[in-house]
Amino acid sequence: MLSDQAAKGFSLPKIIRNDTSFPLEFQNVKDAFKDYKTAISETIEDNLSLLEEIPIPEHLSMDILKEFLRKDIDSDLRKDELFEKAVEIGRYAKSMNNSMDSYFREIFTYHEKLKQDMDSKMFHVSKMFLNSDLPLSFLKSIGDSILIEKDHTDIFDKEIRKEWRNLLASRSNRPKFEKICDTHNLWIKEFNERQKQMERQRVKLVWYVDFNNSSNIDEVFKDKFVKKSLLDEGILRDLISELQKIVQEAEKLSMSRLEFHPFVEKHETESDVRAILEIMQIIDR
Amino acid sequence: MSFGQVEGFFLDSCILLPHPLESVRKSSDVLLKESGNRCMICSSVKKEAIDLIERAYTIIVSDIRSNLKPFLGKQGITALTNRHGKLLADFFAERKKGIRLQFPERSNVRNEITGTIENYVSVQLHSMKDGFTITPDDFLSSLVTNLTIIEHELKAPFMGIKTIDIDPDIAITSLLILKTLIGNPKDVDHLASALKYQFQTNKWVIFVTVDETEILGKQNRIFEVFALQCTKPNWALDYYSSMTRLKSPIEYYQEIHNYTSEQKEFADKIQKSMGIKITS
Repeated sequence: MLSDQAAKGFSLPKIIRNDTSFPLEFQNVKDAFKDYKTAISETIEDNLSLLEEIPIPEHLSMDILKEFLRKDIDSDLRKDELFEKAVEIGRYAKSMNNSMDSYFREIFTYHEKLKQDMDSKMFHVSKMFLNSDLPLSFLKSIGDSILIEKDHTDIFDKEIRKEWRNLLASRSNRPKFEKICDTHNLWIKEFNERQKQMERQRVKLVWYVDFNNSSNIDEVFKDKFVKKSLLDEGILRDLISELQKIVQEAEKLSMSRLEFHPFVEKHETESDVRAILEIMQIIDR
Repeated sequence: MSFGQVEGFFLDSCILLPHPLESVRKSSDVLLKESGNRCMICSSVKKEAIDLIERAYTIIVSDIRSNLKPFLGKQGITALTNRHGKLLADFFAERKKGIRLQFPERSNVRNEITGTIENYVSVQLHSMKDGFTITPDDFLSSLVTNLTIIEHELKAPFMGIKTIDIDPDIAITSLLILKTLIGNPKDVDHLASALKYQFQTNKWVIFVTVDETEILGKQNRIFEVFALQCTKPNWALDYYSSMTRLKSPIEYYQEIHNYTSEQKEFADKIQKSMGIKITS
């Protein structure tokens, strides 16, 4: 159980990566797929745009903060194997028709690593929460958003396994092949939009809490005790409730594609399950 | 006249939660795997279960942050190993003593909760391999991470199942309490919701539970007076097949010969609260 979440080197959900969707294309690739450098600079700009959506503490200069973030995000993205992989897979999409097997295998491998990354993010959010007096809703809202994203990844894998089989069976039938691609791109769009929204809101919340608890730029994103008193209660509440709202919407979306499955047996002997169930029984008496 | 009108299974929350008995867990899983799309829960069952899961999770996580973390900090421990059991045992013993002094009347529940958290922490500590060290911060963060994942997974079955928004009628719940002597008001509410839905849609529903004492022990009486079939998950599919041969609930009730006084009383309540006449 005490997994190596801490040792993996991932960190807080502090940047948005926009790397979750992979299209299925036939021949006419309409979007120009980004090269690595363009993807990095676009992602940095996308992240920086969040600064306009949260109040920045007066003691941090906006220019200095922007410069700091630009460098920090750039450095994080360049070290981020998952981000690099996502850009690479995006490029394969151009020739997906010819290298279908490797395209899908790459996606499945990528998703496995992505899920580990999400566990690690959960770990770091838990750590931030434990070293703070923040309300439990902070941990719950971010935790739920990460776990819903994991559910979406599972749903995505399950769906594209079916689509892969269908594509293989329709390889020589161009209209049918294109239809499968179009259907995929349509449903995936909805999931992506929701996930992007969730990721942005999560990062905004982390930024707001962290920036306001950093007395200077050197303390940004560093380990520290986070105090609620340094935050505006109303802003914190709004950021959390907005995230909860997006999570609920995302939950509804996943429910529409979730095949019913009972509680998985792998947990039957785990003490985490027993602890929660036992306390449920005690408080229900 | 219509036959084969079975809407599906109304599940009690115990069917969707992991049960300590393997036989019970397996029978619930079989029903859900085979007939998940015919299962439903009423909104009150869902709300009650989700609230309970969240409250239990909140208690454990808050306790870890407010008590255990400061304690480990005060001890100045920089690395935890599976040999630190004695230290944690002392912490929990102290904590129980403190609770007894602070809340003498409510100490039983609080002690049980603390005992559960103590058991959880000790199992986690003992699961560490010899020679493995971890900082207290990482140890506690791992516990909280795993609890958050489990909390999400415990809630998942309630999210993936059809939910019926229905409020039970007070007249029916009162009659259920009187005629069945079921003690738990939540159980009565769930049964009354299932009943209301059954007569509103005029399709049979089967209430599935593993609660032997409160519900299954009285299943014949509940069917006789209220025409609501209750069963454990093992036999749910058998009841489903047999009920497809019955007439619809209203017609079934209308064709009963020689109503008992209790049946008459129930039919009267249904007519008053729902405006549906179920007697001939």
